[in-house]
Amino acid sequence: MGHPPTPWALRALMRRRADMLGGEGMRRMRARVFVTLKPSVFDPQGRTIADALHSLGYDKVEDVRQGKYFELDLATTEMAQARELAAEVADKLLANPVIESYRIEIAES
Amino acid sequence: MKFGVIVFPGSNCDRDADHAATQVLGQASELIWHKDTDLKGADAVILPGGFAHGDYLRTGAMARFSPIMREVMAFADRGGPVLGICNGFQILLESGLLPGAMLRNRGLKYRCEHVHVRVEQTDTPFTCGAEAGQVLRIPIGHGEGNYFAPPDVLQMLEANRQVVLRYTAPDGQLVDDANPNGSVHAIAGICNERRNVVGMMPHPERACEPALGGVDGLVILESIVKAFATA
Repeated sequence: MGHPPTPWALRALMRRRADMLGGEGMRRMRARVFVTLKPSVFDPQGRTIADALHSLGYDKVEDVRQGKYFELDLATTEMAQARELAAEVADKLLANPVIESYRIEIAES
Repeated sequence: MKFGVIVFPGSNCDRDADHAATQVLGQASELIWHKDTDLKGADAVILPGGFAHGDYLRTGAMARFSPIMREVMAFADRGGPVLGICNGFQILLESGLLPGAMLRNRGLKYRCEHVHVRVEQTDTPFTCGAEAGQVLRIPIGHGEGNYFAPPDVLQMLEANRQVVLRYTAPDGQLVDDANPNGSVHAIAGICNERRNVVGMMPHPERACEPALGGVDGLVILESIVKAFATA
């Protein structure tokens, strides 16, 4: 009651909570977030990598698109909640919706 | 008038902008830390160049969430003049104050050189002292200045005359060789619909004294003072 918890107290609380979730057979969730440039957006890095592969003789590699990969360890056991949380942070920070799209995979960690 | 120069961890042109405001323009200026929550009475805000928050993830992606940005957005909403230079432009894009996004430069190289930009619009607080069609020689220094916007947004930008600066040859001709990073429509700077927020990749504060090798950036900075005086 009274004052809200200080940031450090909150962090300690969250750590304890995470420990509890992690122990005693409780499974946590891991989200894999794949962020790529939208198909309509030119990818100069991907093009350069493709050019390099061609000069190495890999003519069958027709095109390369590069992107970013994130693993998020989530303190939840709920698949739906994990997906929702991962989508929220992808929308807010991990991807720029103007140029990028993302795909999420959820698994028990 | 008073300038407010926002300092993010990783900003590196904040002192240059502050110097230009005080020593070159003879105005008041204050450096404002990104964790501050008020703009200290600034009449114009500059988001300087650099690598805010290390530019990790994407350029400007994390700076957008710095506490001071809430104040900058409110200031812009009130019609206050906001200039984003280089990394500052990238932050304006990430924060949604300006439309579009930056991609890696065509050619992938970090380009650090003088370029020529043509002033397309003079009815902004940052170009009101320039003449339409005036060509400025100003330095750039960036790896991610390849401006991108989807076709419908580009169309809107052109229809609303929001493209403020374009990369051109020294004579003002639009030629692809003069575009250092592959930006669509050779865009070097844009403004918002209300025209009080401008983002530009070239650094006017690096071209405002003879000792710096050029003074073409001065007209951008002087425009701010002129706009304030006539407001």
